[in-house]
Amino acid sequence: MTGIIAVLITFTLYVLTHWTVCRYGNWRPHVSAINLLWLCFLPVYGFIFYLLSAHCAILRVESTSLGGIFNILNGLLLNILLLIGYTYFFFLIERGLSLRVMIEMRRSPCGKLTIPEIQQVYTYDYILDKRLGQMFKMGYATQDGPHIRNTDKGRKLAAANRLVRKILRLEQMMP
Amino acid sequence: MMPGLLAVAISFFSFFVVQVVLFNLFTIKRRFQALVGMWFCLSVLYGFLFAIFQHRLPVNWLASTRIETIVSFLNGATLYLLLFLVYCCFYFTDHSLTVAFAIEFDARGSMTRDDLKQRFPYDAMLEQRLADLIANQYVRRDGGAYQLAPKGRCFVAVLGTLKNFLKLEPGG
Repeated sequence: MTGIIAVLITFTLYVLTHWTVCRYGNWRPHVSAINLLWLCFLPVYGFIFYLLSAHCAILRVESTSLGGIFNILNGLLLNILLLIGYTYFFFLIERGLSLRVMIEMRRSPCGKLTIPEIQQVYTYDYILDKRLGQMFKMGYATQDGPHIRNTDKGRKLAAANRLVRKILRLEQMMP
Repeated sequence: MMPGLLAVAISFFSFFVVQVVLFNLFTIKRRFQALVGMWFCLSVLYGFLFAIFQHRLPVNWLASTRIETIVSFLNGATLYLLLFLVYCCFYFTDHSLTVAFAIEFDARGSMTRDDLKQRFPYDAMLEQRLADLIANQYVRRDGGAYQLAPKGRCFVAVLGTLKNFLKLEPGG
């Protein structure tokens, strides 16, 4: 239970810190901010775990015992799963195409949009700039004149996704 | 913790195997609903396995009080839920434009922006998304235009406010 409470406190602090960074800072790319900040909060997890196990009678646990080690590892596993879930949620808000389309519908004066109107306020060039810019920045793709190609990292990303799609029998959706 | 951790490991592995087998055997249209259904059915297996491990594991691996047993069960259930959510994040990368671009670059060697626009026409992309949003009752069609349904308005109110607060606009 100590690990669970420690991770809940740590992850809450982590999310609040990340939101503060997003609101008042300009740390880009977002994925680096999310991951590096999470790594910085790992010692905080250890420290809170130690504080709870040493100073809270109900949560007292011997860190070197089998139970204590399982407690710490269980907390870490929760922490990793929460990070992956949070990352997905964050990028759903930041980059979600459907969300952006719905926000544009809400913003429009009459509350409705046709497809050509959506294309006007949310252009394909903007979408391409954002996705390709991110791919260049993260080292997945490179541009040679007008031609864009995968780097080694991009080829690995493509191969891994093709394998997953084959195993899970996912068809190429219109994104 | 141990009964919950062991039960969740076996339950989630079973979910994965059942899902891969079923999705390879049958063509499933409503994939998310199918995934949720399978996950929900196998949550019964989690409860069953937890009960078995609670009686079979050595005493020093088990929780010593009733409250600890309940916490162990809930911890496993939370892990089972989080594993499912994380699995969905990976599963639905078929909607990701970045991944689709990387796969296309790999297949064709290189592409220009115009090639990308031809391969993934914006009209078709928007139609697909809007059809998904209509099917999930976020958006409704009004003649040739699209407008938010009540569910979509709530969704946009919450996530749009958060997006604005985090200074992520315009985004998308």
